[in-house]
Amino acid sequence: MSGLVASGRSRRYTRLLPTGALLAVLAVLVLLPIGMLVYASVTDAVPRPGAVTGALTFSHFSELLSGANASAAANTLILGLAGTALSMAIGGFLAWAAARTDVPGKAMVQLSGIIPLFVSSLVGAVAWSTLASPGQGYLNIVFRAIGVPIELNIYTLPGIAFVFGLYYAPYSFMLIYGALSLMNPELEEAAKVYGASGRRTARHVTFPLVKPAIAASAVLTFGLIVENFPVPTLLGTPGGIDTLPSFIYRLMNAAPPQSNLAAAIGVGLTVIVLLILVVQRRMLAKRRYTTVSGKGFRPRVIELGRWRWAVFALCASYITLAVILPLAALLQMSMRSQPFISGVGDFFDVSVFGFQQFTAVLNDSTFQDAFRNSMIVGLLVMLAGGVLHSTMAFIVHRTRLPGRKLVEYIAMAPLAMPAVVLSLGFLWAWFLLPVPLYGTLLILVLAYVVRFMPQGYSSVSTSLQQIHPDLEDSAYTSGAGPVRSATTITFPLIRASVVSSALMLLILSMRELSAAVFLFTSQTRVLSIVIFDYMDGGVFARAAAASILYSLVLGAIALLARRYLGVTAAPSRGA
Amino acid sequence: MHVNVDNVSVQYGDNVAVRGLSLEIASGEMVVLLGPSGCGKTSTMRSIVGLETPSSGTITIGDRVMFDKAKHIDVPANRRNVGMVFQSYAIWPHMTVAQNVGFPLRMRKVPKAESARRVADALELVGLADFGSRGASLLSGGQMQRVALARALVMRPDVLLFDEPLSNLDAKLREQLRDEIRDVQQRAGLTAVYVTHDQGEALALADRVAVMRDGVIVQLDTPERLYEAPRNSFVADFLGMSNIFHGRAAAPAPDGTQSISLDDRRPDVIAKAAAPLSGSVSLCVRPERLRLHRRRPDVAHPNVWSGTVTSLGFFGTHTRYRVRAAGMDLDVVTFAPGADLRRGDQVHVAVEPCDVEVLPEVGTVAAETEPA
Ligand SMILES: Nc1ncnc2c1ncn2[C@@H]1O[C@H](COP(=O)(O)OP(=O)(O)OP(=O)(O)O)[C@@H](O)[C@H]1O
Ligand SMILES: [Mg+2]
Repeated sequence: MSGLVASGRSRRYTRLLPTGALLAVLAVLVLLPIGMLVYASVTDAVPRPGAVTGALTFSHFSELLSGANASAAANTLILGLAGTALSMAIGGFLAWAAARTDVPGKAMVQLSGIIPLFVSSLVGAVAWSTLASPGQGYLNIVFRAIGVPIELNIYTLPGIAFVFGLYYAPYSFMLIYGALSLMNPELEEAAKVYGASGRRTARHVTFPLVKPAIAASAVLTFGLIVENFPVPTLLGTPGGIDTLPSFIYRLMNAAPPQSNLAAAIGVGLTVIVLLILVVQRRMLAKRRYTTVSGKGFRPRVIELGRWRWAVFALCASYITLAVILPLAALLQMSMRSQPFISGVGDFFDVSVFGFQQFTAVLNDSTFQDAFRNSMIVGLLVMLAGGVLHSTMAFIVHRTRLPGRKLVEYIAMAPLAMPAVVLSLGFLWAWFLLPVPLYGTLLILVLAYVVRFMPQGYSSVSTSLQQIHPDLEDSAYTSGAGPVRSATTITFPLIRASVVSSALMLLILSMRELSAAVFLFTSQTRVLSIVIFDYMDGGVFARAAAASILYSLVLGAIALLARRYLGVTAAPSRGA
Repeated sequence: MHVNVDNVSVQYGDNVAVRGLSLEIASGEMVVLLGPSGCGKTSTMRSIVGLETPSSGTITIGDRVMFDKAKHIDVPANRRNVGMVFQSYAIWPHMTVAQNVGFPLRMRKVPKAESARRVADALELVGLADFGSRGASLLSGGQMQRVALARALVMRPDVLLFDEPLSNLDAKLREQLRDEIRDVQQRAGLTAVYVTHDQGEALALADRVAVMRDGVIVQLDTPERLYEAPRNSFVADFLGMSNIFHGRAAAPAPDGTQSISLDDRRPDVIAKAAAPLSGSVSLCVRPERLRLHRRRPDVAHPNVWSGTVTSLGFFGTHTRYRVRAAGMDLDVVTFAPGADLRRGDQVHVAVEPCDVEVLPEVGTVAAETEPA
């Protein structure tokens, strides 16, 4: 067992100290916002600075399934299901192609399964409203010109589901690709040897073995889509389509704000996500087998023959729809000094091209401040999150301190909280606390640290669990104290994973919009908020230019982080 | 069923894993492929079962041509009726034990009742009669190995292949399962190929052993012949023989003896071989052929070296000594109890010239190929 175990009985009280302090911090950061949310959902008064008042009432919950709420709930469900189905189809197909076929440009196919992850769904929504709004959408202009009698309208349920499908496909891709490429190929070869044809091998062996990954990615994707805020807000508003997160936002921005109802919906949404998580846990617990082999075998590759290029074309069209076309549209939109387009020829009319929008955005002090704020918040989250999440993981996995189980539960709790709901809870929690954090960047930092706690905590945990305690124990028996064992053995071994999880925090923070929506003020806007505001205010060209700059920043960070993250270096398995 | 592998080569890109290998296996015979890692054992076997496509050659099982490069015949694995026990066992974790074992029958559309009976028989045979309804992901290594064996037996294969089936198990279980495999194979009269790089396993299991190196068979013989007369120093070395030294042999004298000068100026060793070699050779002296003497033997003896006991171990039936003599580290085994030597004792080591084996050095690959 680990080094810290050996603390003597006399040190009983000092042993309570580390977890006690940690739990106190977590109570404020995680439990208080949840408490405030629940509280607001069952009272009739709005929480305001320094006071918790109001009489108990359950009337908000009875409103949950009536009128606009009901249709928002129905839309959430429909979009969740349709978006999940589409993203799984895309992700699953790409995973199969990259892992199991001789598709040309395999490395590129593999990459295309991941890259859209770095285009935030916010940018995706901005771009697709440029491409497929009715009338002036670029694709509609092209369709009219070539005589295709189709009018795309992204501001509809199918349109929104399509955007979800595009930008959530990478999650299914990664999980299914992992399962397919790590599967011991002897399992399939055995089926063949024992008489199964290719198709029967797929049906009786391959599919059942990747089913857990498929199910897990379905649940994960559904959860992510259901809580997404920017896409339904930007694309749903023109067509009057609300989902629960966008509806919460509207209730809060109404005059007067209907905070209690928003809180009740927030609680309802949290319960839904919680249920999904429970289902997922169950599934994972029930069906988990290791199919990974020890020897470095190469999975069997299906020779596609004359379908090679067809499969390639499908993969290429995904990356076109998810990345290339959207970026091209944003570029077109942001470069034009003359927004009106009468025909396809105008796309290529260089005389109207210019960098005015970019200069305008770059000179806009709002954008400059937001850039600075985003960087500050990102770096602080990286630091604070890195320290907090690693400490939590260390206490849970490497000590026997009392209360560590509780730490683990709290670490995973934010998973159940949709970002918008978390934002709301944070708003009220810091109203209550006697620390004037609202209106500063720090409240954003804390909200993000909480929001990304499950990811940060589990990525450090995973690597801690891979280090055998014997390694520390042998340092311990060689005469190093518990602290020396940790600093000389454990930390060096997990350093890489702590760094990579911190970098992941930086990227996630730069991308985040939803958790900030109720927490920013005019002084503390971040990049995502500014783009959202440009869109909201109808300055599309500026939103497009800002989106491009934003994507460049995200891309640059991702590129820098690539070395450490190893996401794009997905395992290519050779001899 | 009789198996004929003729001039088969397997190539991965530019890397040639198997070079024109030929191997005949009689019906009911167990041939063990033995060789160091990467020598092409698995590739050979995968060609027989149909999971790898050789770049040349023919493979015949019974009188069915399974593979013929020239005639473009390549029967797919699922139609060859060759069973294979994989190194990882390849037990499907999402099925029960009975479903795993019954899979080959299900694929062959064997009626339910008959299939159930045969599955039960196969499980009985491997000692897992009560395990049929168990989930396969919960089995121990030894149990998985048995399930894999049952699955291979149930379809009554024409040939049964084993790819290092015991390498993931602990020593004791290995021996037990090894004997069970041999027993089942002999009782069922199965033609089998068994791959391993453990020489003990090879010698215990095989009717004949094929020692492989770099994609070719260096020697194909019964275990006894192999042990008695290794073809060259590689085979001797690989079979775990100790006391192998490299040297140069002088031309033999009229009485058949020849002196072999070892490298780095150790005394010459006198050998008397039936078929003397000259030039660069390896010599090999079996540990049990060396004699230890406290005092220098008085007879005029060509090979006597004085040295020191550096370590020793008692093994019940015999005692094993390590002696440093004349710049050589020699392994010596004595069966006589009470020699009463200790570490650091001075001894004299002697060996008869006719007990010094002279083997060809391992040379180029082409020179070692088993003549057809
Ligand atoms: N699919 C493949 N692609 C490329 N090279 C391969 C492939 N399979 C085997 N090789 C190479 O062919 C050679 C022979 O491999 P093989 O697996 O037959 O050896 P082996 O004797 O079974 O070794 P081991 O004892 O390690 O299992 C090795 O050099 C190996 O690296
Ligand atoms: Mg092998």
